[in-house]
Formats: sequence, structure tokens, C-alpha cells
Amino acid sequence: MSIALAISVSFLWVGVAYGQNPDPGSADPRIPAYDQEEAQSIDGMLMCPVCPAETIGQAQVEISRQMRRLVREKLSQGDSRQEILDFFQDRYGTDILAAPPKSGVNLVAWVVPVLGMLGALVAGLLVIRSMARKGAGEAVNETAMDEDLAPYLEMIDRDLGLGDAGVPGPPGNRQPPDNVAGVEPVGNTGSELATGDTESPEQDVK
Amino acid sequence: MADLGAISLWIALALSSYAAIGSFLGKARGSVELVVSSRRAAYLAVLVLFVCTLSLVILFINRDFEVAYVARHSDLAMADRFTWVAFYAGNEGSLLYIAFALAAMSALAIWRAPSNTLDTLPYTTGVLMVVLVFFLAVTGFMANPFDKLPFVPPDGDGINPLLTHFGMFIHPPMLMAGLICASMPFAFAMGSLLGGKTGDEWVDAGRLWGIIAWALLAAGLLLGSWWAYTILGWGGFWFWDPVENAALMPWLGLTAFIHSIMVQKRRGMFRMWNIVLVNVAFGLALYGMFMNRGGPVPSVHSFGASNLGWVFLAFLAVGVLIPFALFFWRFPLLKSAQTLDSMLSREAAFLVNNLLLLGIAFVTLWGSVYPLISRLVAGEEITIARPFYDQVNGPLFLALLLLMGVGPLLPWRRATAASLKRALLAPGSVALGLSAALLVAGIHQPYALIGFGLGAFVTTGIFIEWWRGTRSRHRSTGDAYPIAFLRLLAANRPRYGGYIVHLSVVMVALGVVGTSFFNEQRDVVLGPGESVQINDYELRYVGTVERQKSNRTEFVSTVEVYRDGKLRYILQPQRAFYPSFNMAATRAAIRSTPVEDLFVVPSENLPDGSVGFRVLVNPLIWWMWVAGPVMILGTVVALWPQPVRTTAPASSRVARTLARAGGSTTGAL
Amino acid sequence: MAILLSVVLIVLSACVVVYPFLRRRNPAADDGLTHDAGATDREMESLLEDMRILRLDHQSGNIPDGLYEEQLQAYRLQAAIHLRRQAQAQPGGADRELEQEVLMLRLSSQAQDLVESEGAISDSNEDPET
Repeated sequence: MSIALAISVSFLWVGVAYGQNPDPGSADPRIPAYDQEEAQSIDGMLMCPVCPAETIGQAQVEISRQMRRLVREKLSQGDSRQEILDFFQDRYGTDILAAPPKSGVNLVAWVVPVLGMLGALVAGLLVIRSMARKGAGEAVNETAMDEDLAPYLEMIDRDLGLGDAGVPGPPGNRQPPDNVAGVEPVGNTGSELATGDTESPEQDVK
Repeated sequence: MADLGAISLWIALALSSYAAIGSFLGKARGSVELVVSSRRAAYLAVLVLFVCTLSLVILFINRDFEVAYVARHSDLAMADRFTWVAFYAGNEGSLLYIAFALAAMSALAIWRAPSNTLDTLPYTTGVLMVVLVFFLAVTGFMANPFDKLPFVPPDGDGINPLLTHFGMFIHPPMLMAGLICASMPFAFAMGSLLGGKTGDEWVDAGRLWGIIAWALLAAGLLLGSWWAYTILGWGGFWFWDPVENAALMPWLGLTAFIHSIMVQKRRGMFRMWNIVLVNVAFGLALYGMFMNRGGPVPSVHSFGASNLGWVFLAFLAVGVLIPFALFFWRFPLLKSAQTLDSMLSREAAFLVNNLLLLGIAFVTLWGSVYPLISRLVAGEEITIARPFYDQVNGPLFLALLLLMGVGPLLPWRRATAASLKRALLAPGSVALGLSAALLVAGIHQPYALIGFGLGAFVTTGIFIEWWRGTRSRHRSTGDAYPIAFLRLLAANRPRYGGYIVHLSVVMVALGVVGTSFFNEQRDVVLGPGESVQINDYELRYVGTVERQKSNRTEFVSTVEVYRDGKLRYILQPQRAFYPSFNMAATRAAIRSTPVEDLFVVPSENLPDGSVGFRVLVNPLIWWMWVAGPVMILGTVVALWPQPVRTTAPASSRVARTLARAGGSTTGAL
Repeated sequence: MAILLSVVLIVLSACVVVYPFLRRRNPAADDGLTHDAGATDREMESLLEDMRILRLDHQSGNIPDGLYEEQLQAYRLQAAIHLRRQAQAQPGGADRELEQEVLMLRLSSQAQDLVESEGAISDSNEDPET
């Protein structure tokens, strides 16, 4: 549990550092005050008309700079985000927006993947459930415990350090005859195997 | 030298054609000689392509401008080390590189093919050689790097300045190698189908090469992000650019594949599904290469539209249709050995994993393709860029992160709801506790809270499992804890390698969440002596020095960084203008710590000496870059051959003895 | 220079391609059309690996005791059945310890006959009598 605590503390420290409000100081004195973060968000929503697949936030060409200025001017005049986006859409066309508006025929762009994913997930879970039902319903492959199976069971048990009839033997470093060098003999963890009478040490972690 | 290059290219084409035809024919006719001969031809093709590649390198070093490709991508002023990058700066060289990489990897895969694939190996070889023939033919006939100009120009055009960054030495070769490496698991699967195999013979080879392809692509994608971050000048790392997407999708497909192939390995299940998946991954890889070679969608990555795109599209169609036809032909044979025992099992978790990954791939594909559909069907011109993907893929990635935490807690076959709840308790509490603490500390963005919480969830789960395993081993063997952990890792390499890779994914998630939700940006114009405030840094612009180099004009600006009133360090971001390319390239100055990056890049140099700067504080992005080496480490651990135990095996000892003695008995009763 | 190297490569290619046809086929060489005889026992490996992973999951607390025991016993049984099947399919061999175990189960004369006929199969290409 102490490990869990240590991890959460380290994450917490990170979180605290960024919970503080950023400095809203204006960076460009030539335009009256506006919300910088909002401007930057809007920058990410408008495409640069002449660049291949870049937003005006990314592109450094002149038209991109002009558009950014325009955004900031409008913000300082009190326009809302939607008003600004609508303005650009009217002027340049719908493809100036970095994502299609969620209305009209463009709704298709959003709805198809979302519905598709939901549908696939539901279908997938149903399929998994029916597979699981079928699997559990099939008869377990019963094989009679033949007498001549005993020596083979013995070989397995000996090799895995399972002791008599599958019960783990005393913990030790017995090396089964054919152990490949370098591999931890499975028998060394024999102390952890229990047929119910010894407590499993792993379960006490809260 | 150019002639040697050209001739060796044709020889390689001849050898691979022979190898392709010979492998199929030889296997079908039962001609051992033909099969062996074809295999050796495939091996020799590697040597021949090496000579070909070397010729091009030498042509560059000698600046032999009679060769068109050399003239287009180098000049006298270029430093020799950039030969490496100039090699694949254009289509011709890239295709040659891909062909060489394919030949080399194919030879390695064939040479080291596991014993249970030997029966169908000629088919696998044939498939790989067909792909190689395609690339060599396209290179030779349509994009030949050894074509000559009718005259010898006095100087070349020079290398694209964007390519001179360190990241460009590794990102493109890794990405291209990763894309073409998807052919390997595909070829083994096809070999199995063609050979009419019903079992799991191809799984080991499929897993090995699937992971290698996955790792190469992951490294390529991460390096590309790092390059974009440092050199493209706007402080972002992923733009959902159509070409980026085209490389992301095969990676998603491969991620799904390497998970579900584990189920086939352990339980003999998902036989049909894995064939479909590997076909899809291969198809997406071809699509990725198609997009790179002049696809129909514009992007910062495009090498420029060309006829190559259509040829690739045709091969893509063939490369998808024929395998699926094969799959349907062999469909009746591919029944699984086992059935799913329970919904609460690792097998079921892997199915959900596949669903999510393919869902993300579908959304990405949809986003890349929809603008075309919209234009053709509705006449609406629209753009699909980052905001779309953030909103649609974002939740899917978070769901994947959740699954990454829950999945490893599920055992094979069956878990009880009670045991799962118990296993989820500690990681779940940490996650909720952390999210609550962050909320209290002032963080309100829901995605950020969920993202950090899930990161903690996954990490806690992994560390608890490591702890329990180590403690158990410590108790039974008496090893010191560090030794016990290393032994535990060594005994369970695939699993623990996987855990390490999962940790690297959490690191990437950390960087993405930190930077996406908490970054600060200032775009300012500063005259000499002026300052700008960002978070608790104050940046004071000192001045700019203009340096004239042979092919560019460099503007190096000096910026002093103060914190708490004290000068901490000095940054020197640069901007250079290349007249021959009519473009400017920037080199950001980045001060990187695990907590945050301070990022300064000049966007314009004004005549009055003032400079337009973009200043960014990007929290936690350091973790995304560190994730790279961690992921490689995890991959190496996962792939490191683990000696498999066998019990005192009556059967295998007999088999070994018989084989050794050539069938005659030794020893006596 | 370039011409020389080109010629070398062409000649080399021709040699590599033609050589297998000229050489008499060596039956012992693996030409890719035959199964390898010395295959490790994959099914056994897989079963043992399953058991190991089961144990690991149990240690990590992902499987409750009851389920663990149940599955472990199932694997154990499966492994024993597999071993028995293998021993019945390939009786005998050069290994002394193995011989002893087989003798526990079968009449020694039958085992010897089968051993000799195994050797005969590999030495010649005749089909075994049985």
C-alpha cells in the first residue's frame, strides 16, 4: 500500500503545479485586452487557407498572421467564439473550420464514427458473451483417471515440485533433472501453492 | 558507378522475380532444387541491393551531378554526413531503401524461420518476393535513382533544410522500415493459408515479426513527433495530418495484432481473426506507403503528387483482395482449438482491446477520407483536423488506457467478479484519490482528471504486480529484492516486457495530457531589451546576430531567462532563410525538464531588429520523449528468447536421440 | 570497375541459382519440404507454460485459490495424458532411464522389437511391417 501512496503523491505534486491560474498578462500591446487562451483556442479551430493542413495557430505565413490578428481584434470587441467562427465560415467557406460544424449535412461526419463505435462495442460485447456462454456450456473433457496415468502424473509432479498428488512439497531448491540452465525452477515457488490449508500470502494486500 | 547501381537494381529485380516464381512453382511441383535455388536467390538479392545502395551513397559523396537524383538533393556545400538523409530525400531513394530493407528483413525471417514453419516457408518466401518485385519494379521503371541528366550541372539543388535535423536521420528510415516490416507477419500468415495449415504454426514467427514491425513503427512515429516538436516551430507534436494518420493506422492494426496473437499462442483461439487482422495491418501499411508516395490529399509530408500514387493504389487493391480471397477459401479449415470460457478473462479483454484499437483506426481513416466523400456526395467542402480527432478519438484513447490497467489483472480463461474487484481495489483507489486531489488543487478539465487518474491506475496496477511477484520470489528463494525482481523479469520476459511497454504508454499519455491541457503560449514581438512574462518565467530578448552561410542566412537570437528575478540561463533560438528553397526553417531553443519544457522559437525577423517570438511552456512533454527508450527496452525484453522448460520428457528425449543417431539405436537394454 | 563488378554479380547470381540443380540432393539436408524430425514437444511446452503463468497470476492475486486449484489440476491431468500418449506412440529409445519407465508399462520383448524396427525405418526407405 505504501507503494500506492508514493505513486499518488508523485502524481499529486505534478497536479498542484498546474492547478494555479496562468498569468493573464497581455502579450501584444497593439490590440486592446482580450483573453489569450481563448484566442489560442480559436487559432486551433481555423485552418490556414493557403497551407497544406495547418491551422492558423501553426502556420507562420502572412495570411495566417492576419487571420490571427483578426481573431484577437474581434475578441477584444466582445465577439463570442461562435460569432468569430461563423464570421470566418461566411467569408471563406466551411472548409476554413478545422472541424465541420455539428449541424446539417455535416452532422454525418460526427455521427457515423460515434454511432459506429458504439455499435461495434455493443455488438462486440454481445458476441463475446455468446462465445462465453457457448464455451461454458460445452462439456468438460472428462478422462477417466486410469491407473496407468499415475506414473506420468508422478513425472509431472516431480518436475514441478508439486509433491504427492499435486500438493506442493516443502520449499526447497531442488533441481528437476531436465531443468534448462538459467530458468528458475518452477518448484521453488512451491511454498506458495496451497490446497487451502495454508494462507496465501498475496491476499493480504489491502 | 551509376551504371553499376542501375545494373545491380535490374539484377536484384531478376533475382527476386525468379525467387518469387520459383518458390511457388517449386513447392507446388515438389521440386526441392527449385525451392532451394529460389531461397538462395532471395538471399543473394540482399547482397546485390547492398551494392546498389552503396553505389548511390558513393554517387552522393562524389557529388556526381550527372545523376539527376544526386543533383536534386545535394549540392557542393552539403556536409558529407547529410548523404545519409539525402539518400531518402526523394521517392527514388526512399523506394530503394524500402526495397533493401524488405530484402534484408525477408532474408533474415526466412533464414531464422522457426521449424514449424518450414513446411510452408516456400510460400512465405514467394509472398515476400512478390512484394519485393513490386517495389523494385516501381523503382526501376518509374523512379529510378540512377537516371542521368543530359548534361552535368555545375552544382546541385541542395538538401531540403527541414531534413538537416538530427531526428531526420532516424525518423524516416524507421518509419519506412516499420511499414514494410508489416509484410513479414503477413507473409507467414499467407504461407500458412496457402499451405492449407489449420493450426498455429505461424504464430511464433507472426508474433516475433509483428512486434518488430510494431516497435519500428512506434519508434518512427515518436521520432517524427519529436522532430515536428523541435523543428517545425509551433510547439506541437501531432497534427492528425493525413500522412501522419496513414502511418498511425497500421501501427494501431499491429498493436491489435500483437495482442490477439498472444491468445492464439496461449489458447489456440482467434485463428480466423488473426489472419484478418494481419491482412488489415498489411493493407494499412501499403496505404501508408501510398499516402507517402503522392496520395491525393495534401499534407506537409507529401513528396508531391505523382503517378506513383496510382500504381501503389493498384498494388494496395491487389494486396487486400487476394489475401481476403485466400482467407475465404481456407475459412472452413480455421476453426479454433478452444472456446472462450468467460467474459471476465484475458481473452475477452484482448477482444475489447482489438475493438478499441480498430475503432480508433476507423475514426482516423474516416477523418482522412470524409472530406473527399463530402465533396463528391454533398458538394460540401469541409476540413477535418485536430478538433475532430480530439473529440472523437480522445475518449477512445482514454478507454484504451483504462483497459490497459484492467486487462493485466485478468487471468487467462476465467476470473471471478470478486477476485477482479479485489485486484482493482488498490489501483482504483489511487486513481480516484489522485483525481480528487487534483480537483481540489484547482484542475477542472474532465479529460485531464480522467487521463491522470487512469495513468495512476495503470502504473499502480503494474507496480503492485511487480511487488507481489518479487516479494513471493524473495520469500521462497531468499534472493535480495532487486535480484528477485530481475529473476522474475527474466523468467517472464514476454509479460514483463509488455508491462514495461505499457509504462512507456502511460508516459506518452502523461506528456499528451500535460501539454494538451496545461500549456501556455505567448506570441509576441520584442524589440531588443524587451521582455515577456510567461508563467513564472521572464524572457528578455537581447539581440540577434545575422550570419551568412553558403546556402542560407542565419538569424540567431539571444534570449535571457529569469525566474524569481534571477538569471537562470540563456537560450539561442534560430531562424534561417534558404533562398534556393524560398523557405525559412527554425530551430527552437528548448529547455527541457521532467516538469515542463520552456520553448522559444522566432517566427519572424523584422527589419528594425525586433523579432516575433512564440514562447511556450509545455508541461510534462519530456515524458513523451523518454517513453521512447523505455518502449524499446520493453520490446527487447519481450522478444528476448526465453529458454522454455520441458519436463523430463519421455517423448522429446526419444525424438532427440533418434534424430541425433540418425535413427539407429545406440546403447543397450 | 563498374562493369567488372556488374559482371561479377551476374555470374554470381547465375551460379547461386543453378547450383542446387547440379548438386545431388542430400537426404539429410533440410530442403524446406520436410518436417524437422527433432521438433521439441510444443504441446508440452505450452502446457507447462500455462501452468507457470497460472501460478504467476495466483501469486499476483489475480486468481482466487479455488479457481487456481481447479485449473492447476486440469492442466496437470492434461499434461499427464499427453505424456502417456507420447510414450505409447514412441516406445523405446537409447535412453536408459526412459527404458526403465517404459518397462514399467510394457513387456520388454515388445519394446525391443519396436526399437529395432524404428532403426530399420530410418536406415532404409522401406515401410515398417506393422
